[in-house]
Amino acid sequence: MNSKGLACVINCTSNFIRLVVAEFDSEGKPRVVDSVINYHSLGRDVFTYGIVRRKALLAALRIFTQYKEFLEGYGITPQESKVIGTSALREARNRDAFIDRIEVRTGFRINVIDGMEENRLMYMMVQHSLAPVIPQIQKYNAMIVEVGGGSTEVMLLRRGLINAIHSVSFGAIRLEEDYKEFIGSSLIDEAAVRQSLNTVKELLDHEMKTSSVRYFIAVGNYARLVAGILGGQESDVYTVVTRDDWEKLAQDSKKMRPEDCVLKWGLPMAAVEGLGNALMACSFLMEDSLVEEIHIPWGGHSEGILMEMGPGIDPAVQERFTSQVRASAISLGKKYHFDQNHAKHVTELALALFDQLSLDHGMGERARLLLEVASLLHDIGTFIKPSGHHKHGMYLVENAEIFGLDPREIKIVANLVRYHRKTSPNPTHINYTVLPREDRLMVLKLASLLRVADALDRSHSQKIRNLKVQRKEDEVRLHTQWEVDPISERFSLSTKGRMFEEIYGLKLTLL
Amino acid sequence: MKYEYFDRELSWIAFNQRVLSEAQNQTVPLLERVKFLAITASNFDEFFMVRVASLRRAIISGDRKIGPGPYVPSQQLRLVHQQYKGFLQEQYQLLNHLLLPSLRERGLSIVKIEEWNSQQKRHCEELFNRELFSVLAPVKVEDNRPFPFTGNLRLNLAFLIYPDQVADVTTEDFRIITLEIPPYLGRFVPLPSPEGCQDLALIEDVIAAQAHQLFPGYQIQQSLSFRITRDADIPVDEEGEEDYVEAMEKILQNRLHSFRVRFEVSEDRYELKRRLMEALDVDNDTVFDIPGPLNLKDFMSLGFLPGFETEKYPLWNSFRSIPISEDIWELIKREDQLLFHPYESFSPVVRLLTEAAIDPNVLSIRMTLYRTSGESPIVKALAKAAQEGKQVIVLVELKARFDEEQNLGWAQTLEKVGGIVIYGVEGLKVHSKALMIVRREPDGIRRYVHLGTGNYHDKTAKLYTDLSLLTARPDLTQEVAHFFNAITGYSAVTPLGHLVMAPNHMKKKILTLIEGATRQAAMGIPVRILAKMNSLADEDVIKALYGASEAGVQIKLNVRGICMLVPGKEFSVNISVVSIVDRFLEHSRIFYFRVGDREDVYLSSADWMYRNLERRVELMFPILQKNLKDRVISILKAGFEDNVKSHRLGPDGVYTRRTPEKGVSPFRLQQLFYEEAQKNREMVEGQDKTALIARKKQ
Repeated sequence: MNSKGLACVINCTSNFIRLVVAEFDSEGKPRVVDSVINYHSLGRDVFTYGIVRRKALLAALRIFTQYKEFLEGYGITPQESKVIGTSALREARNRDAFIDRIEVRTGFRINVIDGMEENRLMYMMVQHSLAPVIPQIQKYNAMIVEVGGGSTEVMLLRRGLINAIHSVSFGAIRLEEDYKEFIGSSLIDEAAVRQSLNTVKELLDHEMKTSSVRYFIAVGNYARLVAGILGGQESDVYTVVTRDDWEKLAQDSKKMRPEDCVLKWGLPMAAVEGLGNALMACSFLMEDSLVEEIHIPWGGHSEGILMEMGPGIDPAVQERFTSQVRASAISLGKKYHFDQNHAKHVTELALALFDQLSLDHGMGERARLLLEVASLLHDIGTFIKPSGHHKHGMYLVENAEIFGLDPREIKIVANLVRYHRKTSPNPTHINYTVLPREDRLMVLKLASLLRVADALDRSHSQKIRNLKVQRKEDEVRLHTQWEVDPISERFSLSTKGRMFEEIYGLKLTLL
Repeated sequence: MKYEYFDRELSWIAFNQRVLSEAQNQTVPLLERVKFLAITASNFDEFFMVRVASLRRAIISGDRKIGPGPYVPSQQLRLVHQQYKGFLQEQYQLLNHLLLPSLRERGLSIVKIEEWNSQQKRHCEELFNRELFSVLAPVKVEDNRPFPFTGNLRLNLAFLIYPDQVADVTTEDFRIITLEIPPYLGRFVPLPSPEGCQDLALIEDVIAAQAHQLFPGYQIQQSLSFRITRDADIPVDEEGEEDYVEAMEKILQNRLHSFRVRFEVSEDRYELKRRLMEALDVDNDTVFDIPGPLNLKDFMSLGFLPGFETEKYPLWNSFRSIPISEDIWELIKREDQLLFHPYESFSPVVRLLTEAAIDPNVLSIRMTLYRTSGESPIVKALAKAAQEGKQVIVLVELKARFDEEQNLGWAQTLEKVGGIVIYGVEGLKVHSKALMIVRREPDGIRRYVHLGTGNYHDKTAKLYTDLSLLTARPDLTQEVAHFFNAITGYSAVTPLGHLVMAPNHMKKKILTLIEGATRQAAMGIPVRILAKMNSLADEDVIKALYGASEAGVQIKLNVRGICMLVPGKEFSVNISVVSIVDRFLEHSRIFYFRVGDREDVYLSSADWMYRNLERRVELMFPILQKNLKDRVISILKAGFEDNVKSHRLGPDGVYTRRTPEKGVSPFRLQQLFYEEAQKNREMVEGQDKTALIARKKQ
């Protein structure tokens, strides 16, 4: 936010660059003041040649130069703007050079985000835009889908809680480019779309039966175009269109060449490229579902970012967000058949330690969330083999899709899982040493807490309850309640507590 | 069944004929009749420069039929010339035998050379020697050399002269001299006049009377005045030109030399005329003999002579419907405001801009300017705002016909003080009229918007009937922001809910509205379409209207100018067309659709013409606020009731002046609106006074 109380977010995707200017109301909720969009062919370049070529670079430069001038009207500088780049830039081999060009010439600094981050932003925006209908949606199963030019984000919600999330490399533009190379034509038929999405569909169906989905929320620029074409605006932040209309448009668009779309809908040529694919992809994903209406929020990633930029984020939204992260971790745990009771119990203990030792570790909410996720997932490596399960667990987490965590945080969680037992970090551990200093510190402090918590349920029987921490001069006394004396826990703590004693310089006693 | 259409050019001439009928109308004050006559001449000037020129171009490039009308260009041109000749006879019949003698009776005389008394002669001679001689530049017409430069539409004199001293004058001894009369000299020279009278001489007579002084050693054999009209509508080559401004400047240069579409000569001086035609290389089709003074446009200024008040319309001043005592920002924020010009003054819009220029809370101003004057307070306010550090973005339409020279000057001035001036949108003329002021207020960003049917031109705002909407409703202003983002090139076009933009969406929307109404009517739901515009010439729209009429939709159209739609035929039995020509130029565009109980009202900058709907950036906007909607509907409906200044179009293309039926009192639309405005004026000014007094007391 700048001195005038305005914020700007720019989203540079594979086929458009969208800028949003927003202000914040007294509760810190963003309100979009202005937005502009320009189309370009970054994705076409990257998906075909692997790099952004000169022409696309110049086009992007021109757009950013115009945005700079545009923002002067609001007294916002490029440095005050937040700029994100998605799939096309993630993949461009020359992305650093591209980002540098843009920054040197216009002052805008692009941050490239990953698919999971896109998912998170999508969720935040949906929470914001669909706020009035969220309680209704939460009663049923829902699917949030964003088909982009280069990637597709899918989120399954079981009664409001995240059941699965995926970022897949299906893109409306990418598909055309792939086919152009393959069959020399970019005219896609429905079969091609189905084929490319079939595996994803099966995966989703496995996680949550598509036939149980009642709400379909279509996000992103293609969805917004559909909303514009079909009309039927419900409020000033979202639109509802019927599934029939959607299907009809999908069928129509198959028969239309881009020129026809331009003439019929008065949209720029670049905007309608890939629109038919996006429509068909969504139709395919909602096939066999109970969906009757499709909700289309007017916002995009930028609105998701704006939600976090306000002076104070809504605690209710924050809480809902945390619970989504938790739900996502649990659903990952289930996938690997984790001992849910043990996992939840360890989590409870770890968080009790975290909360009562806050003066000693000095860490905040975000670290608490990472500890929570790591505690839930600490044993998932046993799915592969009990022996060395901390190492298997690390790999699984590193490559898993956990809602709401960025890649850096995923790395921290993976390290926590790695160090919940056995050797503590040492300089030969590559995955640990590559972390920045503050992250390494966080791993040390949180892993030692996780070890203690894990020790306290060594027998996986949840004997120890009501953990109270008593802080003495150089000692931490753990007051607990039990019915059967927790012999194995005492024994385990004597070894697993060592790391805690080293890190915090405090002796541990279980009473 | 085959649909029919009137010819576009002939329909335009019919419009000019209606203007002429006001000049012929005995109930109109004398000097106003002279003004209407001058308007018909000025209209034809533009018509020749643009329409006749493009017909000629169309003939050269193959003479193919353009649009749905019945004729090919060569037939159109022949008919136009034929009708124009008749028109000329009517114009000069009226001027020479009715208007000038009547004016003379009332003490205002245009005195011919042979009528000058000795005092007047002396006066003219002195004037010539003192002021004219030094600024006149006669040029010899030489064989095998280009014809001397003569400005488009400028009045010229030509002389056929021969040497004094030669005994046997042969044709070889004759010379042709041309002389352009500088326009700044004015057309009428006041002469010493008897008490209570005003005698005037024409400037060409004053010069001709002393012309021998210009050619010492020569005798003048013949003299005449002439005028050349050239093609003005040369397209700008946007592809080839790096700099649009430069390209435009080149066009202005070219226009000076572009091809000739009309050659007017006074009186029948056969020899001189023949030689001029030869030198100019013009054919007989292009030559028109004018039975009186040329360039009747100049006679407009007679209407503004001081005195002779009884021969003019009483002054109808516009009034400021938003009082100065009112906080205009608060007012607009509270509810939308509608201004009906020229009965209500344009000044609130100017005030909004002037206040915005120095308001520290204003962040930026965006505006489209199509026709405006450099001296306009609007341009000054914009310059001030830019100097105050606000972002000022102005979209200037350089192609605004005939105003280019003026536009370039102030646009460059605005750039110098830091404003961003965008010269046109590629390939399109920006004809929409919109202003947006972005203001930071304690509860957030708010936009104040003006949308209008007329130009931001302080002079035309006093003569054209237009409607202005001032609004701060977020649902509309947000879309106006998108509109500006699109036309200023900051953004691709995004879908809009309320606003309709040409060329992307407007035609589709209009057709959808008409076709929707047609479907409803076919189901037996009562449906009405009322529309007011300047011209109706888009084939698709007319077809849709025919279709609607066939389905039983009741359609009433108020079309001031060109109307290619044929009313009252089998396929248009439910369509009626009227046209109003009165002292103000009817200019607002209002579209009304009533389906069952649902009423939709739109205002627009666009006519239903191909060029507006497909070649221009235009806006059509709904009136959403109930009270304003009602007001606009009543304004629109009243237009069909006029039985004094209104004509009805027949199925045969003939316009018949409407007269009050038996027992019906005369109803003159503009009179009614003026009187209503007067009533409001008293009320508002009363309030204003009380408010000011109250403020002083505080």
